[in-house]
Amino acid sequence: MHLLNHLQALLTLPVAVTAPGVEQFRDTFYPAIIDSLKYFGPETQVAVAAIAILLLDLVLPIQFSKHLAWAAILGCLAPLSGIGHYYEDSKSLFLGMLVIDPFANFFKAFFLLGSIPVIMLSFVSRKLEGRRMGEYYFILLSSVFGAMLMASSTHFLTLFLSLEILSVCSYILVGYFRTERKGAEAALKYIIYGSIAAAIMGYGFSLWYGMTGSGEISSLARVFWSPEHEIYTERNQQALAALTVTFAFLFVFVGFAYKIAAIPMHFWAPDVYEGAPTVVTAFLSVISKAAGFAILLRFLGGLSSSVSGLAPGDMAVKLWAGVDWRLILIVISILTMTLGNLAALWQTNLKRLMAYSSIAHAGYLLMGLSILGTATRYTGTQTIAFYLVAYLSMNFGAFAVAILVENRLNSSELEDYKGLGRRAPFLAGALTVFIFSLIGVPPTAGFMGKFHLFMGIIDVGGWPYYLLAIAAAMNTALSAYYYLKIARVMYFEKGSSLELIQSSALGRVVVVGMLFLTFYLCFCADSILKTTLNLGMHV
Amino acid sequence: MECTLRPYLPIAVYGALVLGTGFSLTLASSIFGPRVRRLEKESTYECGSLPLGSSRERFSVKFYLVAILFVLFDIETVFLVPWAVVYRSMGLFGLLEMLAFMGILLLGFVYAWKRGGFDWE
Repeated sequence: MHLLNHLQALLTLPVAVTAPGVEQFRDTFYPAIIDSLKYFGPETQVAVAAIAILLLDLVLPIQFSKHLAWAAILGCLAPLSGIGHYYEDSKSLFLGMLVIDPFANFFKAFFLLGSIPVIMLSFVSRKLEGRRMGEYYFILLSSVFGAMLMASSTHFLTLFLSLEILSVCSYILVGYFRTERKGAEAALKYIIYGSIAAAIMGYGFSLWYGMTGSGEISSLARVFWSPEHEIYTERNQQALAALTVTFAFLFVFVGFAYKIAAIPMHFWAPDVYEGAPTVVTAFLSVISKAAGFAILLRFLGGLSSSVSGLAPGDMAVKLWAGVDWRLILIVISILTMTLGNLAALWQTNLKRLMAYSSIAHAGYLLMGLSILGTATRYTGTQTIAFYLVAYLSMNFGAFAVAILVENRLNSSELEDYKGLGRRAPFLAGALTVFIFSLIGVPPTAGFMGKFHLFMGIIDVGGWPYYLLAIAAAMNTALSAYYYLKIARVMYFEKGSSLELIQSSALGRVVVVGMLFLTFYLCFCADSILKTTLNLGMHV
Repeated sequence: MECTLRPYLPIAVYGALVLGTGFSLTLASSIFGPRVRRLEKESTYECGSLPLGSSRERFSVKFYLVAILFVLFDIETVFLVPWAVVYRSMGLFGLLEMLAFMGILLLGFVYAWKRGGFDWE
């Protein structure tokens, strides 16, 4: 009898999708798709540039292959005009799959501009010398393409797909030297963790879809359940729905946490960062992480605006009052930064140390996520976007120095950085500045970034936020130990060699650029903050 | 909570039945069944050819490339067939869309060819 009832309930469930006829496709969907295409220009340009590079490499002699870097830089610069042209537009594209709005445009520009130092560093990296570079730049541009989609996707399908485009490209980049043991191991670990994270995230999406009947971010909060359904008795129906939503949230978060290397999906970071070519590590630690935060901001921003947009009589209103996702984020944030910093204390390899440092910074950035949708002087999106720009300057700077040193010494062990203060005064001095910025000492970008993150959470108030602020402050103090250890090794320990370390001009240009940005973001923080304040999302 | 899980009771009963039947049949055959120990009886299959070694052998990594290239054309067919079915109603737009898709695939094909993806050696 029971089973029969269930079958009946299944058959009579309201079906949201009505099968559209051919006419509907022709008259409504085609024009919508064709109209969307013109906003899709930047992405198309990146894709075309990527494919052009791949094919160009077929006809180029091998000694010119490295100059494909300039084509790749062009491929990153050309789409900027399109982004600038439609910067203020706010529109849903491709039948609710993607969106164009200032938020997406800001992050697209961030990924494109942020890839230029990566390409320049690839050009100077000795490790990549004497090879065919077509495939490398093709994959690099493809991952930028994926990152751009991540910033603008508004549907479970596009969220998942764009995340996977970036992920698959990153796997290949990490294992680019497939004969190298460490790189191959790193790539394999990255793939395994990535597939698990993707599977869990997919499960989360399916739960969420089951609760809302829609895959669009704008209707994330519209959880509904049938009061007649037997599984939900009067007493506990809301509690069960809330539990399901909480699990769906956690599962989806796991997929994003993997991209930003936050607890509980941080395990891959140290091995992958150490094993990957250093340029790729720089790319992963900044662009890939920023893409993860863009997609998280989009998702959580959609969730919080969807919750506040519920009709007063909606049955989901009470449910969301009970689901405290901000508290979950606070707990994850505290755990992530503490673990990252504690584990970094013992590291002896610069790349591994930077991996744990990047986990810790993911923790700091999560502070900004936990204030999304609350009324503060500095909004969550604003502080995170600003911190990401600051993080780009100091992290790329540090990795640029690491690459230039590695070009000569073929190592990134801290042991080999002994006496770098004499052997390469410019690089050592620059690295010291980036280190201070990573700690958050004024007058650097890191200080301004952290300052605004702290201001945000203190503005909200309440004990969880004060606890978070205290934890973050203690972590900052803790991080000073291992960051300053690098400076101590460079200046106060004698190395075995006194030979000067030469670095290429283009590499020094990147370092100088990042130094400039590090100071610029501190002294002219207002201009960037003003830009990041107006990152409206299309609702 | 007991009322929450009640609808699942039939599933639990069904599961218990399945497991119980399986176990009791295996047990019964091992207790009551006749035992014949001969060479033919002990071999993997009682009839047909004798198994030659393990099936988990190493094979050339070149097959991997073949499989990947197969996927390229497989996907092409997967999209071509439904497009062919609704070709008339999709009209010019559908044709252009398909041409763009085929064009991108063709570029991949050219790349694989030029790079020697189809040479076995």
